[in-house]
Amino acid sequence: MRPIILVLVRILLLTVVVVAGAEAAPDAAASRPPVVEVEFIPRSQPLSQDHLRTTVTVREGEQLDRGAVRESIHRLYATGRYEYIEARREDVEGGIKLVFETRPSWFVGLVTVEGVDAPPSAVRLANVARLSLGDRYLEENVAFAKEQMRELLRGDGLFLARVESEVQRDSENQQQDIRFRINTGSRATVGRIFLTGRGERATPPMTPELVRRITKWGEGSSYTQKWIDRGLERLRKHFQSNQHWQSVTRVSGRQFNADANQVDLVVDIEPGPLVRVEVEGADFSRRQLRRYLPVYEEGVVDEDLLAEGASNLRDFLQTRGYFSAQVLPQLQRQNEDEVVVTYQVDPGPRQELVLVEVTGNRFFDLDTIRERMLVRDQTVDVRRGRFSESLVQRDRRAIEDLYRSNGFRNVRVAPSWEHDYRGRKNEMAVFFRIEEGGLTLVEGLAIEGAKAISEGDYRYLLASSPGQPFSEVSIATDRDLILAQYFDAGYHNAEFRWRALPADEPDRVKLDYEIIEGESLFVRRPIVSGLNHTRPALVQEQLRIVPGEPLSSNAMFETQRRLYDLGIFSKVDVTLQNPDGDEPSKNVLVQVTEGRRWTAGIGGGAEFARIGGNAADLSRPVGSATFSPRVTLELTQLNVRGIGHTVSLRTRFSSLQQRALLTYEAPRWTGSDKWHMTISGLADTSRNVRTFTGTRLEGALQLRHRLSKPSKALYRFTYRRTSIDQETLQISPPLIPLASQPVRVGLLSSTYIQDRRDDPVDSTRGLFNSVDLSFASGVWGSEPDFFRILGQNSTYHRLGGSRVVFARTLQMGLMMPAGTFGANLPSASFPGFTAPDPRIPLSERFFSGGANSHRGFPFNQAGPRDPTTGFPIGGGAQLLHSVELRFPLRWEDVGGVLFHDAGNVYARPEDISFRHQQREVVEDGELGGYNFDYMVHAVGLGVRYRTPIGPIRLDVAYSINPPRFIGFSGTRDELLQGAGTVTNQRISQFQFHFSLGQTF
Amino acid sequence: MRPAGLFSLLWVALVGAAFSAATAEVIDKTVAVVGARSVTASEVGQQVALEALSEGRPADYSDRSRSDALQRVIRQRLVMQEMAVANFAGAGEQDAQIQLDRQKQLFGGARRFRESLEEYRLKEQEVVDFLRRQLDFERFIDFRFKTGLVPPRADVVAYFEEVYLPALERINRSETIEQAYPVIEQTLIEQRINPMLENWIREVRARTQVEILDAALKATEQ
Repeated sequence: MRPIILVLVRILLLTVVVVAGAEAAPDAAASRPPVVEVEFIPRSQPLSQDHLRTTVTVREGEQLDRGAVRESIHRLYATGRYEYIEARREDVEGGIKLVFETRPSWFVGLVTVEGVDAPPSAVRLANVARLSLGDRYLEENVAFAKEQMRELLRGDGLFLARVESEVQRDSENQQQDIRFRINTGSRATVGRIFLTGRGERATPPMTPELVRRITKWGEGSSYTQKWIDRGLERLRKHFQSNQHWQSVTRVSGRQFNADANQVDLVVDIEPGPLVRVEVEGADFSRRQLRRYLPVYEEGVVDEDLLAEGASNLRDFLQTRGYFSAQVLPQLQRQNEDEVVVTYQVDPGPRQELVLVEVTGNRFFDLDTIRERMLVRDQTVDVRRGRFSESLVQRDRRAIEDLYRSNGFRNVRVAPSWEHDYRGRKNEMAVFFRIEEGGLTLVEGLAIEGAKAISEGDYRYLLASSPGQPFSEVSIATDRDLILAQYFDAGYHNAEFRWRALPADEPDRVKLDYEIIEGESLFVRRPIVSGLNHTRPALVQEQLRIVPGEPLSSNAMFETQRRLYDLGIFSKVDVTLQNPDGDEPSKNVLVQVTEGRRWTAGIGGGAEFARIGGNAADLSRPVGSATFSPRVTLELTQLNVRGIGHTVSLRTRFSSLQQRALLTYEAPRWTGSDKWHMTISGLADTSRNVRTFTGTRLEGALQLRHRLSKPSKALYRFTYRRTSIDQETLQISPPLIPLASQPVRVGLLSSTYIQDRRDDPVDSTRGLFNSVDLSFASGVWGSEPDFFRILGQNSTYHRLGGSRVVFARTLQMGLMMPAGTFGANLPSASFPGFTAPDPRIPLSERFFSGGANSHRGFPFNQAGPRDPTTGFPIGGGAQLLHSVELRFPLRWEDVGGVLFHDAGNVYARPEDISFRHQQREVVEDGELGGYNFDYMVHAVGLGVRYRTPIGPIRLDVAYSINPPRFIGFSGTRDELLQGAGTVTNQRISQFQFHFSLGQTF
Repeated sequence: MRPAGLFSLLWVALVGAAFSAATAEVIDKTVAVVGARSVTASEVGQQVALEALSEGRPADYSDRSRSDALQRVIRQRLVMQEMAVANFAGAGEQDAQIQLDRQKQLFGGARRFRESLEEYRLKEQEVVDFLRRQLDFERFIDFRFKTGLVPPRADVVAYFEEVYLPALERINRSETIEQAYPVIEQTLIEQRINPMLENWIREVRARTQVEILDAALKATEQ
């Protein structure tokens, strides 16, 4: 046994000596045998063979160079793909075998947090872990993450929480998913409260009991960070309400008592001095002072904040027409415990800015300059104009910037103003005198260093081409454009430099652009993770990252956008794996978090309009103001079958309507972004027309085709069965049995929509056009045959540069019946009165009037009426023209509207008339009824209150020529029995509408 | 199998193992990581040799000595990293060559210097690189910390009276404050730079991933 031990010791010694000596030993050139083989262990390497060959600088057939070996280790490590590399030489026949033994590095994959009930939320815990997707995975970072999580948990009272982690390795992608499991234990409660004073006040100004009462930190109440912060805020507000605006309150210590699971709090309280704010010389409301004086917000009284408050007050006064207002702040320390802040205000006279004159401009027209200015002379919406010295200086800079960015490097703008302009007291004028100076032009542009991308690809897009004005803004635009091309082509380290040299002629420069392209990056492959329910093919379709192609940042953004657009992921991260690694191709990580698949919602609402009235009493066809509460229930399943489709059921129950709508939506139908398919089924019983209550069972298939950004086309087939409840039909008794027959309508429709509005909810400029064509034909199972066309053209214009908007819309609809269905129904037509064509079922006719159409009518009360009952019976044509002047009012979110609506529903297309007087039908020398085919005009005004979901609207309309009609006074039974009396009625000239959103 | 046969087999196996161990020589390996760059064992060994050469003492390749040298390599790397971030232009080949010529003179000529290199198993280019790095660091530190750092005259006067003058008196020499001013000013600057430099290095290190992979070199890790 003894000889064996000796041999082992010798071997060990030999090895140590060789290694230690080798580390600094220079090569003995003469004795160096050649490298005959370079081998990598393990065989499976994270880099391709080609990449390995280019990275390792040791070459087969050459003598071993230790410097090259060291450089190879550095280069291999710099790829970021290895955490350890060892180079060994082995003597083999004919020379040396160089072996690189490597250990791959790992990267952070999916980070999940389980087992925690908020607060803190799993998302917050994951955020504090600071383990970024694609970064190097390091044990120490995971340990740090755990500590950060524990700290956050403790902050929310989870002092007994345990945090454990486990990793799941994905060897193929060198990625480790990290799962943090948290056992929170029970949440601690608030224990005792100790108070300390701060600064010169060592004695706390209140008792712990009072603090507990103000903060609501009751003993035993659950300890969370939010609760503690809220308590401190209450404490601060308590001091503020007593004019201690500089109070400081904080929890300076907490002591956890594990046995009781309670946290004792140490609270520092310094109420600060009493701060009295006084304004002399002008009246401001408390709300205004709080808004404009930062002392209230910041809780600090210093010279800077006092000056800022004075400036805010002066600006406010200047916007109110006190253009020469002066505000001087003064700070007086009465004693240690009291500070008085006085703002001495001299508002000066109230003035009007009657003129803003810009002179000296030759290159730019006045509109171009004025749209960059904030100083404004008086207009409808800015009654006294807008002026302050700071605004004037701001406008001066804006005009100078405009000129400089267009090559006028020596531009000067001299503003001045004149009080009592032209001798008129309290009127003023502002003058901007522009000296444009000479225009500097680009004489020539040279681009150097463009190799990977031909300069011809973008030269024609450059702003600084020869003959164009020279400006740094243009150069910045060119830089962004050129670099965007490079970034898109995978050159993420591309740099742009420029210099301007004087040319031979004056006011001319030669521009040199230099591009340092750097190395390009390519996509190795996209790695998708986070899919639980979603089919991978759906995500693959959205990827714009192609293996082997240049790594384009645009492609990454586009991929992220497309995945978000699916609407099924709550989070989408697209990032690089190993971002700092020096490797020519990168894995792109696409990590998604699937959103909730099921959502349920319950809502409530109410309608208040002239929609009510006793169904049995026919005396008031226009209805009476009624309040109708409603309940809505919604159930939605997203990502049906993992293919991104949606199924939803929406129901609505109210005294006027019972409705259930089942919808199946397939976005990106056939894999194209441009197509969207919807299949829907509807069951609806509603009384949205006072004349009848209808029940509709409907199925529809709709394809939406996006033609361009503003334009789309809809192709739709709808099949419905509509029946009318006989008991609710308020028309001439002989017509009731036939008019209430169920009818099946099959409609093949096509709609074209062009929407160029700036804001669909509250448009201020742009246009909206739509045309809808529908065919009902027996060919596809419809009982009636008819053709319907509906069109709308709306435009919106801002007047001048103001916030006043002129909006107008023209809506027209025509129905042309064909075939014989319904032709034998009795018609209520008689001389002087045309009834709608009976071939068009009652439920398919046009009904109009109300808040969203003609405001001279109550809801759906326009057009022909039953000659016996006076109830509306719809028409075969409609025309509506509305104009609105929308203007701001004094308050920021409140606006006003003046409007004029003109139009009506007509019996048939050929009955459309612009006549403004309603004709009477005279039978045998007596009034027999009225003709409704005339144009009703209404003018009115409204108020809009802007909200995030659109303006809340109140309109008052005055109808100039509201329709008169023959009605019936009595009950439905009396009507059927031929009793009751005929009455002459008229729609009220005043109509009130309350709604959400603009009318059009 | 007889004991003699078993013993023979074991002997053959051990000789084979000894042979393979003796021929499988570790040339180099990663021993530490600074940011995204590695530090190799050969660089640490080279640092030991270069320092020994410049101090005229034998090279000590013990773990302790190499561990100390590794810490200095790490500091160099951190400074180099900051130089790269600041786009700091380093010293040229010519500056390093001037330094090399001075070194050769200190060693008593080129021949003696060459012999020393062989003794320490170093190449001349490695010394040139070392000298250039030193120059780079000095210039960067000057740029980073010295710029605008001028001790007030009162401090110079106080140092002259409290430290410099007593030291001169001990060796029976005398100088006016104006004569001593540049030296004292430089001394005060150095005194102020040193803690600033240490703090800065600590701060850079704290925000850089520094990992020592070789357990034997962790002894003096800071």
